[in-house]
Amino acid sequence: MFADALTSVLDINVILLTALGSLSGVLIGALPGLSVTMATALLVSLTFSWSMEYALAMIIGVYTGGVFGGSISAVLLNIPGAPAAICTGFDGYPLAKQGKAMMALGLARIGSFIGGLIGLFFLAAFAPPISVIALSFGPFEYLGLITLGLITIGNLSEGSFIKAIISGLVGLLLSTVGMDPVYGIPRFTFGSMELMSGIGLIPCLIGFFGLSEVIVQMRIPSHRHKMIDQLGNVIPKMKTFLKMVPLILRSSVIGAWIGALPGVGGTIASFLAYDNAKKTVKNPTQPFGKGAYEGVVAPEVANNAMIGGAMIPLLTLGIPGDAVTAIMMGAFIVHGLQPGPLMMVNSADLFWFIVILFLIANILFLFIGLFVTKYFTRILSLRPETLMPIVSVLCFVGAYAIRNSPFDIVIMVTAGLIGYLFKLIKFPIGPLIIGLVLGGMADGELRRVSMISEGNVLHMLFTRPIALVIFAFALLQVLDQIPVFKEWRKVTGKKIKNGLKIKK
Amino acid sequence: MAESYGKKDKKRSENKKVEGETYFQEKQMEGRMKREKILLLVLVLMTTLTMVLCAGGQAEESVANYPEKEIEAVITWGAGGLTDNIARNFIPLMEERLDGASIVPQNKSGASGALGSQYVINKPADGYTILITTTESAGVWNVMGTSDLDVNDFQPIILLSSLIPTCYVKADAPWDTVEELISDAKSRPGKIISGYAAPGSLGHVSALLFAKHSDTQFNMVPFGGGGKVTAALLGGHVDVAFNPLITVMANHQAGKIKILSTFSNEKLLEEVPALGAVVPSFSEVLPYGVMVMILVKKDTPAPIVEKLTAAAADAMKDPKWQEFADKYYLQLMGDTGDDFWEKINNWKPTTTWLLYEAGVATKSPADFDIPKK
Repeated sequence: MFADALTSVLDINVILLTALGSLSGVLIGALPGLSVTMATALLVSLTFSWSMEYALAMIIGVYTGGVFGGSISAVLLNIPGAPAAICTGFDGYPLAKQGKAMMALGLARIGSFIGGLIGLFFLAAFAPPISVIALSFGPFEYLGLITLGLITIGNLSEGSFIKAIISGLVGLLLSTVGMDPVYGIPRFTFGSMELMSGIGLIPCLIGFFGLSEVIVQMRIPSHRHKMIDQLGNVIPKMKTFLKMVPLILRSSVIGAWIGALPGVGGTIASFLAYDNAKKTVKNPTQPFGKGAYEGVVAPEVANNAMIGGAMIPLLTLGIPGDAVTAIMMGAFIVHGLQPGPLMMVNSADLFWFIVILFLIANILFLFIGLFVTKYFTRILSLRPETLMPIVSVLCFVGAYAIRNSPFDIVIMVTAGLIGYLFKLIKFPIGPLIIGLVLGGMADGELRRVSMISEGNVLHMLFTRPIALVIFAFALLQVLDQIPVFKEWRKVTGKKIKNGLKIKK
Repeated sequence: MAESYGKKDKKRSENKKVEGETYFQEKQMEGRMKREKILLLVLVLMTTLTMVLCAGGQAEESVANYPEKEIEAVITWGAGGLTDNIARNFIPLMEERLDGASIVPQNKSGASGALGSQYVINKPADGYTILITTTESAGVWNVMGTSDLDVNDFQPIILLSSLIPTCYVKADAPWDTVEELISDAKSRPGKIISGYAAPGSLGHVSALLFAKHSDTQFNMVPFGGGGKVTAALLGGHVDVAFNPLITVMANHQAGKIKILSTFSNEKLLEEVPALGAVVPSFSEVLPYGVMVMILVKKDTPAPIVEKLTAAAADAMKDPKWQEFADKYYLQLMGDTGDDFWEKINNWKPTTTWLLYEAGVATKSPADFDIPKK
């Protein structure tokens, strides 16, 4: 079976199409506003008449390349090309400002590669058991995970803690706009039909990060001259990575696990991984937020490990894990294949074909990424008055292209102006995006929890051990930020140490 | 984390920053005015473009030579979804029958499809913008309070197909037949959890229909998506769910779920009984399913409607379409003109009154002259 899969992969056309997909994925991902989801959707309809193998090769190439591509613009322009790349920009852009753009992109590229491989390993080796555990996650466990995600807001603040919280709350508030998930009643839509489906994440993202950055850079030019100074350092040292092995492992487990949970997505995976890195890495190369290598590697590892994870529910249960796998599922069906529990049994060669394709796509984009980043970094030598107008046009096109809706442009521009204001008064934007991403989910899960438990939420929580552990962990993280508790922990910690000494 | 750094390091990095800035500060001011002007220019330009987009172009075309240019097909659901796949498979077949005119599919999702439909309404009634949508959106907007639009604001081209839901439970669930499920639900009303995707969706309406005609009560919980419902069912968080065949076939063949029945009067699968056959109280409202339809704006000239209808009706007979329908477990329909309205007017009272009586729809169907059945 494995051999069959291998021979079908070794078709030169398959490899060429994967490479083509990977290249276009990196490019599409790198352009702010053009999303991988959109690219795969378009591709799938293009590949209806192709053979299954060719169609898959192209789609997998785009998927793998696209996730990495999003980080290119995050590092170079401080404009993430995709929501999952937001965290990469936190440390990647400061690195670029220090003239280490190539280093940051090298870290992102190799981090993505390693993350992709580990995610793939989880898919190849543990797909059935992981899917079983993922299924045991119900509304209670999801709510717990989302709570954990919301708590990361406190850890993402670069300056004022209060400002981060306010920004996060604004995001939560924005997420309540639109049709209520249970009764379908419009909330805060002010009679506007466009607002019924809520405030779109992508237009917001493009506005908050893209357009606002355009305004900032046109008014106050950044350190361009420095950025292009030292481009030589393309490949990070082996030693840098060896030191990060534990972090990489943790981030990839986070990524693969979040990916395996249907409907959670890469954005949250990268935020959790960044948060985890910030908490666990005691001596980063530079402080987090100012160009820590770890801050670039962790989210990149996670959002690529997410791909392997997201394929697990698709291939073992026929349930897509994110927007791209949902489109992939459509492609499978069009080509007469039903992804599901029987796929591993009836068409195991196809399963291995997919795994090998992902492997090839990962290896290919490692090289294609190198090639592309080399050229992409050249845009740094463009003057802001040349580059930024181009970016702003992309912002408009990107916002429109998601749903072909002019209203999304209005949202994008509004978000851009608010984002600029935020940057002026030094409010972080990251927490706002987390609030926006998680708010809707938290709303839905909370309502489900209360509906399933018929109002006795706490009572039922104690019958669900996994959820209880997650909530306890979340509570601990909150308590850890309270001064009184910190003092108490210090004191008891000393006491324990003293006690040990006495025993000796 | 910053505390872990020596003050020296901090100072050094600050110094570096200052050095870099002084060089540029001189040139900053002179370039600034220019840049701001460029920025303003670009923003004004893009805003104007946006406004043009909003307004939409208008031009005169002759009816006799239709189609003279590209036809835009607005799909009211997202790319990659069930409706999108159905539409994108049908469009090329229709193109072949319109003298090779190209039909460009466009996804305009949002507000249960009302956004895309509003877009079509805002366009001229010249047949160059067609709407591909589903009954579970266009048929219920007015009672749900989503939009003032209704199917009646459009002219039918064709009813493409219907996706019939199934009632399914986990493989190790205590019920092997619908009758067992119904009698258990009767003995403990409101205790069995039934999952559905979103308010007013096919899964929701099917669950309401099931409860009403079997005289039972379920604890109905929305999960935000059909895939998530099946995942929750497989994980044991939901007891019973209602989804179209295509979405549950894989798990059915693998023996992970039991399909208790299909929402039809005749068997759709050899091994699964039809709901209408086992529980007679259902037979009058079945078959029930979500229908995918092609519409154009009302007052589109009759010759254009006829041309489109003829092309669509002929495309229905294409073997490629039949093959796709088999793969997708679609019930092909092909109703045009008066047949179309008969199907819709038959479907509408059932669904709208169900939603209204369950408290999901905010407005009474009676307000829209929809008779109660």
